[in-house]
Amino acid sequence: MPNAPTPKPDLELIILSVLDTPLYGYAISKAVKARSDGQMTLSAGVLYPALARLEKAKLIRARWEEVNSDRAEPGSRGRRRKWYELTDKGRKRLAQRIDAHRAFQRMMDAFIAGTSVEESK
Amino acid sequence: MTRASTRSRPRTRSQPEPARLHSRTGDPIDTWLALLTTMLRMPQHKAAEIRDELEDHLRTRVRDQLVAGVDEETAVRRAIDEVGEAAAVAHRFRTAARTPVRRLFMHASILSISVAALGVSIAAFTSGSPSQPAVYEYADSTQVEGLRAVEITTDPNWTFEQFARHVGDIAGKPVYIHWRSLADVGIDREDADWTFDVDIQQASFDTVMRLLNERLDWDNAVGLRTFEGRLEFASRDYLDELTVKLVRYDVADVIEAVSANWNMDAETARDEIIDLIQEYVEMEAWQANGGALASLRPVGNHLFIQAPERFFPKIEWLLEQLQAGHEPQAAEPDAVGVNVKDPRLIFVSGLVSRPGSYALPQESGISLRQLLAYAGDVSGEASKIRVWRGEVGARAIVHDIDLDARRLPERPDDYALLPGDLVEVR
Repeated sequence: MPNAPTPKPDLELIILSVLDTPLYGYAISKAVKARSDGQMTLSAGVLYPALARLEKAKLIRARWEEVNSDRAEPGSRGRRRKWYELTDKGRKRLAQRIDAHRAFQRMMDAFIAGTSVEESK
Repeated sequence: MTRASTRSRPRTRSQPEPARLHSRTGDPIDTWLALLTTMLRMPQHKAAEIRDELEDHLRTRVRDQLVAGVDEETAVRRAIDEVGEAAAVAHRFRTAARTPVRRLFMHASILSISVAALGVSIAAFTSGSPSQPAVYEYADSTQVEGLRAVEITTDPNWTFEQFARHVGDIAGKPVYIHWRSLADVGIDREDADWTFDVDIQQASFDTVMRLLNERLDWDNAVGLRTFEGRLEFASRDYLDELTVKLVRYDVADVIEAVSANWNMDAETARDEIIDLIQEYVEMEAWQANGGALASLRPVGNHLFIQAPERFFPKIEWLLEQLQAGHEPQAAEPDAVGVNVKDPRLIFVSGLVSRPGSYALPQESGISLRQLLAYAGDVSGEASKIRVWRGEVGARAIVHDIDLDARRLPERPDDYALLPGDLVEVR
């Protein structure tokens, strides 16, 4: 089914889910790819603004870490890396979102189970 | 100089660089980041953080590809392509900064329909005296005594502290600056590069605050309140959270007024009132719209509203407007199907046999009684006759007869009409 519309991925749920351990942005995009068996790529241009929004909503918090850059010149400051982790509020939100998602999925499954249309290959 | 401003000039050629694999000048990643920083149009420290985060992403991505055997030029190009256009990314960041509310857009689009409908009704309500519509005056910061009528001349090189002290001197009050909350809106005490950047002569305090908030590129970034005799500068969010209170309103009269005027049952009227409040008073803040600051719960004829203090005057104003509509001041009736520009016409509308326009007889006037003779019988249901005079759309009632008290045509007095008058029988 090449042209079938796929449900829109829930960005908030995806990001909160992979942040069960602290990660920085690039690692988040890799984790998303890994957890979806390479099927989902989260563009950095979408990911980072979404992180900013979640941080503003206090669902995640960030801290900075100095990293050694391969390109750093002597005496120059190293690069900074921004690590994210869930806040308590974020954990609660994640639990709610998982429950809501499961309930929705069960409901949709029940609908689908009632159709006589064959699953296409 | 902060990191951000140093790096936002990637094309500087005057400084000789040490020989490296890639000269920093012309590094596409630096160029992209500089473009992003410019387009973010955010407070410097916020832009620097976003810039640094994306630099880490891009450089790590390049390194990963180099390890996998991709040549550097391809790796850099690919890393940038994956992130996308700097303008689009900047736009997304700006949207994220402005909409803390997850579902705001969804609600905004659903609710905009009811806003439009209510907007019309409100206009009808307040059009009783067409030249003076009811207008809510926004007055926030100038609630502070001693700052209402002052003129301030700013120095763009001020630190925030210098500005705050200056305001304190004018108001004759000690000043407290809540740095921690201000850091969230881009005013960083430690940032030596931060300057006030607002250059204006003899402006009102409100204007200065508006310009400052515009320059910070944050909606309502900085707020001010008086507390225990002090002027307290802090972020608007912080002040809002501090001043949240729970208030109960008895809205029985308002519900009655709205249901009478809009022909709704009481429950619908109550819902309309609630929607109206959550639309027009700081929409993003309400829990119903995905916000966190304010909530509203109806219980019978009461509304329990928990919100920052500054919301309440506006809520009360709205409620007053709705209730004021209970005895609606008359709205000018339409003079349908007539050439309103003809100066010699008089119009009759409403409960008469022949409503419409009547040409004035040459050289002579006409009385109300004469006109009604032309216009035919006044319906038995009519209870009022009004004469409207003035510019179209801005007419005022100049003569008002209560028919229940004295029925036509026995009515003894008469009234001389002028060209352009509109006679309404209702």
